[in-house]
Order: sequence, then structure tokens, then C-alpha cells
Amino acid sequence: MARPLTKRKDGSLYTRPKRVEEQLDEALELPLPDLRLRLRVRSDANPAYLCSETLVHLMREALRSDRQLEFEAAFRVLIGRCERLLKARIPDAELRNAEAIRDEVLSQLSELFVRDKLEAEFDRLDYYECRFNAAFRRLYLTLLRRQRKREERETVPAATSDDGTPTSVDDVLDALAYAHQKREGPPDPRLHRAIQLANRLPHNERQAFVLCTLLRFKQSSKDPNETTAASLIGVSDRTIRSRLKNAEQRLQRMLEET
Amino acid sequence: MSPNPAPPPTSLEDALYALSLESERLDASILDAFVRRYPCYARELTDFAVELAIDTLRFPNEQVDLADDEEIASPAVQRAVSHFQNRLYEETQKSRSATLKAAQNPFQELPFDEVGPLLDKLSINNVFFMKLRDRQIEPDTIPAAFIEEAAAELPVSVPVLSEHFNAPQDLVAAPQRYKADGKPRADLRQTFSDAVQSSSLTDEQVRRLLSL
Repeated sequence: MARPLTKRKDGSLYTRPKRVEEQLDEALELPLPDLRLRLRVRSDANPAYLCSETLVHLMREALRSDRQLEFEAAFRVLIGRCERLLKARIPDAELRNAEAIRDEVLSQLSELFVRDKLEAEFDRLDYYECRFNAAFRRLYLTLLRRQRKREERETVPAATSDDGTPTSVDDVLDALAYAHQKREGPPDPRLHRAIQLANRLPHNERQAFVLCTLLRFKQSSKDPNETTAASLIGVSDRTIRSRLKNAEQRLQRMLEET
Repeated sequence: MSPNPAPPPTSLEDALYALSLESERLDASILDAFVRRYPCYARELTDFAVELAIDTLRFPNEQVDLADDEEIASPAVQRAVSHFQNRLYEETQKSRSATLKAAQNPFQELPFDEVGPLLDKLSINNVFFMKLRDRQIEPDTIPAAFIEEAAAELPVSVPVLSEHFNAPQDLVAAPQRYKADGKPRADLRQTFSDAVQSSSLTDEQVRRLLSL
């Protein structure tokens, strides 16, 4: 049985998904040659596939007992998966220094394992044993946002022909709202372009836009106890309305330019 | 929703990770709950939620498989592996140096003119003294009676002397103390018994030490 996690949420310990626990029951007993074979399984559809959460636990255990070969075998596969994921999310076409950012994210992930090995109380990798890719967002989104600010969202690649192109601000809002509410099914062809446009907005306008249109916060409220976009950002009702209006006007201009 | 303040030790990093794990169902109520729970991080949580909302829209399917023919030894993977190895080495060395600095060496700190009297009191010779000083003896094989006796004569406490014997060897493996061309290997230690028998001690000294 795998060592329990120690990170807590609302006083209760985080737990791994059942699938991960089941994989660990088996994988923790595997000798190195068998583990290497399992690591070669590349498709999640294959029952022998070891998911990333499982790999994190195996690596932590290997580090604890100084089993360097086992650690490195799993580490290479995990980093390979992360690199593939990052290439899709931080593509060279969308950002300058994309490769450097991807490298930095992978270095930061490696750093978590260094700390896990050296610091007795360090348990941040517990998040990665629960839901690896969700936790991984924490790493790359921070670096991505920093880079976007640096580049001031000055370049946006042209939409490809099969992306679909929203023609109005309402189209952009529809595409985003559809994707936010309905995560299953075929993707809206307008979505990719709508996200690109939203990402081009200046920080303040983008923040107001996402809070109100995607997360569905009210712009303002007479109830002082109600959380609104204005109270979250710490600005007046008038400011949030102005930022939203500016965002919509800017989106319209961007649509007309393309 | 009533405010439900979090216990203080939660770090910003933990709050952001916890929010990440909610990314697929992120909406106003989830962010609201987080901001009420961690009011001191409201701004950071809000900023991060905006990024999370957009990213989750764009990449809702979290599953990432490697392609069958994908090379896991790509330059980026190699760089990450090297980064890990270098950082681990760096940190291990730092911690090792700290340990070395922290561990006293009561034999090394002994004034020169007090070495001779100590050899007489412990009934050992200079060769055996150097083995003790340079941690060339497996600490687990040194009899407790000898440690107590040596501690009393140095004088230091038994725990300090035990810590000295248990510290890594290379603290005192300075090359200038050795006539040989090569530096002594730090990973080879003798048992107490072997050290006694290979130090040119007199038969009486050997008998005494082995009887402890």
C-alpha cells in the first residue's frame, strides 16, 4: 500500500484517485526491469499504462531509498509527457522565448523533486499525486503570465482557416461561454481565436472580462457581503464597468482588423 | 456564504495549488470560497483564477500521452535531468559542508603539547591517534568504553566525541597530512579491531584496546 499523503485540505488529508492507488499497489512491487517495460507503454488506453500521478509517487519513493536508476527511468518519462504538454500550451508560434519558458517550467518541476528529497516536511508533490496535470498548471501558468505581460500581447498569429473566426464581440463571448459551460463534445471552432483575442487584452481589461463573462461574477452589488468583480479586484463599480466597456470595444477593433 | 478563515500556516503556494486542483469546475462560487478562505491572498488568487479559467477552456482534456515513437531523451528532457542532478548535487554538498562545519574534531583541536600526554593516558601511539582524528575507524565498531575513556581525557562529552567519529571522513582528509601521492579514499574505514592491529601498537596496548 502506498504511503498516505500528508497535505491537507479543509482539515482532511488529500487522497489519490482510486485508479492511482490501484496502480501503485502493483507498481511499487515491480522490479526495475519490469518497471522499465511498463514505462514504455505510451497510451492511457493500455491497461499497463502508468499515469503521471503514479510516476510521481514511484519517483518520490525511489528518491527516499536512493534508487537512482528507478527514479531516473520514471523521471524521463514524466518530463517527456510534460514537454509534450507544454509544447501545446506554450507554442513557439505564440510567444517569444517559448522554449526558454518551457525549460524553466521543467526546471521548476525538477526543483520540487530536489526539495522533496532534501526537506523532510516538504509535501508539495502531494498535489501532483492527486491530479498531476491540474497541479502542473500552477507551474506553467505563472511563468506564462509573466512572459505575456513582458511581451505586452503585441503579436497574435493569424487564425488558421479551420479555426473558425468570430465576427463580433458577441461571437467571442458565445464561444467562450459555450466552452466554459460545456466541456464535453466537439470544440467550438471559434474558441481558439476567441481565446487568442481575450489574451491580447491589456491585463486590467482581460481580468474584468474573464471574471464577468467566464466566471460569471456580478460587476457590482449593493450587498456589501457579496463578492463581485469590483470587490475582487479592489476597484469601484464604475471602474469595472469602464474596463468591461473598453475590453469590448478593443475586441471589436481587433475583430475588424483581422 | 459565511466567511470561513483558513488556519494561518497555509502558504500562498498551497492556496494556489489547491485552486489549481479545482480548475475543471472553476466558477464564481469556487473562487469566492477561496478568497473568503484565504483573504490575504485574494489578489493573487484572482489573478491566477483568470489564467486558470482561460487555460482550462483552451485545454479541457488533461490527458497527455507520449506518442509511440516519441523520444523521451529529447534535449529538453536531458536539460531537465541535468538540472535535477546538478541541483541535487549542489544542495547535498551544501548540506554536507554544513554538517562538516558543525561537527567538532576534538583531536584536531588538541594543542600540540597535549597530544603526548593523551597518548600515554589512552595507551595508544601516534598512528592510532591519527586514525581516531581522521575518522578512519568505523564508528559502529568503536567500543563504548573506549569512547567514554577518550571523552574523559580530551575532555569532551561522549555525544560530541561520538558525533566526531560519525561525521564524514573528508573533513580532516587534507592532503598535506599524507606523504602518499594519492589522497586517502574517504569511503574506506577500518574496523576498530583492524585499526588496533595495523597501527604498530605494542602487544600490551593491543590486548588492552581489544579487551574494551
